[in-house]
Amino acid sequence: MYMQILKPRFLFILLGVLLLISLASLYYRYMVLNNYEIYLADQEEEENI
Amino acid sequence: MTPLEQVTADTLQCLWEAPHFLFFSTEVEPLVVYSHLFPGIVALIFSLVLLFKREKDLEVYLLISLSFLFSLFALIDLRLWALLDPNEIMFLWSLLNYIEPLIYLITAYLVLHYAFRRSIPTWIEYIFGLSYLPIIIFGPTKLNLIAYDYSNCDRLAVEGALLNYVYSLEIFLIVLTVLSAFFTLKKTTDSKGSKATIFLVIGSILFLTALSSGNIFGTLFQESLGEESWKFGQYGLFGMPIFLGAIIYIIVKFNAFNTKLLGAQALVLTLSALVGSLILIAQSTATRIVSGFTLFFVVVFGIFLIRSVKKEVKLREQIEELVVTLDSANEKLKVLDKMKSEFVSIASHQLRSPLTSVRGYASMLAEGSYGKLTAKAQEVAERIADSAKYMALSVEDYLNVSRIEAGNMKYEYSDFSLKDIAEKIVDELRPVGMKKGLVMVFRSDCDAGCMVHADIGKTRQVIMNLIDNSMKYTPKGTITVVAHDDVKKKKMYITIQDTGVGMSKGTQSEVFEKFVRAKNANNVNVTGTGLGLFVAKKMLDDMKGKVTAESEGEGMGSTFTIEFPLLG
Repeated sequence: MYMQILKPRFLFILLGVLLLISLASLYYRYMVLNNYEIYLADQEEEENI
Repeated sequence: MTPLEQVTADTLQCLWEAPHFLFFSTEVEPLVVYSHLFPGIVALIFSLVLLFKREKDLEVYLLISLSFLFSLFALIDLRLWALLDPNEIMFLWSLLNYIEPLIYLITAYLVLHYAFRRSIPTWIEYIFGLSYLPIIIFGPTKLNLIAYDYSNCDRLAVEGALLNYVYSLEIFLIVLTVLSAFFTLKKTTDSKGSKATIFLVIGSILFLTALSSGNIFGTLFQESLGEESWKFGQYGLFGMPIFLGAIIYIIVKFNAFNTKLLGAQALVLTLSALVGSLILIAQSTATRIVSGFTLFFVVVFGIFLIRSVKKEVKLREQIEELVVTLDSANEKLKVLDKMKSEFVSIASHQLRSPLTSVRGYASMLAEGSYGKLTAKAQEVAERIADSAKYMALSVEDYLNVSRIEAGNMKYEYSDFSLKDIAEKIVDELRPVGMKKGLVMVFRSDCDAGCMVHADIGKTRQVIMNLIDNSMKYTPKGTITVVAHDDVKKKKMYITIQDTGVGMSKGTQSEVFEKFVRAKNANNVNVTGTGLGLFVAKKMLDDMKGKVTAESEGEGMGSTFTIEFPLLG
């Protein structure tokens, strides 16, 4: 019964769930929060948006 | 003004035209559009075609997800070229860094799965799964993309350390694919399977290296070349059609991946994608119209082609199925026939011995060996002896048939005069014929001694059988037996001519077949088995002789001719 957890199938399912969470947070970060740095041209400085 | 508004305003200063229809912008070069659209559409169509196939196993699902992910990759990348919104650029660019290693992992897994004949060791599956974990964990962080580079109008993101991991993983997977395929090929003995594996490995290596070389080049030279560094990588996407070509070739030629795909289908779909993407990048209306017409004809003729090829394939499959069924039915029939022959042989043997004693005792009774019988009892005893004799002959016929069919008939060859044998038989049968009121005539016309090389006992049996046959079917008249030779042709003949019931043309052709009797046979002789002539023909065939039957028609008598190679 516990050996089921060691099967690659279980690993792949786990990875699939983690991937979905990861993609959702990616979307949230860039498309909703717009939380990333930008390198600006003239001032040569970084700003947080 | 907030920083975001500042950026957006500044972006507008770069004078980029907003994209229309998701992918198109006058800022994007037609060649870039083409290098993305064509492989992207081909891959998408391929994944859809596979998706609608009825039978699917793991390898087919891997192919479907691989081509779908690639198509997604190509289309997202194309949109990135046309976009100007930094938020979406950052999101889609990060997303590409998820998709790209996934394409590598699936391709490598597919090759290994195929090369290992569907039994990949568990530890390799763990390596595959766990190697993707860092991308999942660090994908949404600054390690993926550090920042949006707004120092110029190139609209590029600054890539982080995760990309180094991604590229290392990609190179590792390419090496792993080559190595494992190499070792599997060394072990395998199935030449067809190895050829398919070679095609698959070469196709995937070309695909993967083309894809990564462009991206690695882009990353390495972004600082010095800016947007230009990424343009070089776009042509790496053409690795996909090459890879799909290899896959389709393997499917069509080697029936790989348990899917039935026709070469015609693949050809038509690729051509349509090719012409379709030409329409999309065409600059002038005239080119668009020409491409549109071409696409229309490609699709219409393609559908006809696919339909006819499908029909042909179906027909071929049906024929192949029939052949298999016929083969097994034939085998069964052979076994049944052998069993039948064995049964007849055993049964006949069992019948023969009691018959001999019935015949013997009946004859002795009739001859008065057990005291004088009354006239009536005498007649009965003779009838018993006659019937037993007839039955013994029938049993002998059955035995001969089963021996012939089982290939157990043995022949003892010697040189002898066919004329002498025939003459003796006619002399033996003459009293029986006379009893029936028949005239038995024998003539000979031999120039070279009438010698033949055959089994004397069997030859005697055949001639006896034929003359006996003529006597049975001749109620009255003459039976003429002639022995003659033809020195030029080196043949020896015995002709048995009667004035009996004769036979129709139809009967003549089948009278030597098993259990066949002339239609009018029952009028004169009800006791025939239909085996005598069959046995005679088989025996003569075995001894390199021949027998033919001729008749002018029913009621016109028959002529049987036996032919042997003449000796001397």
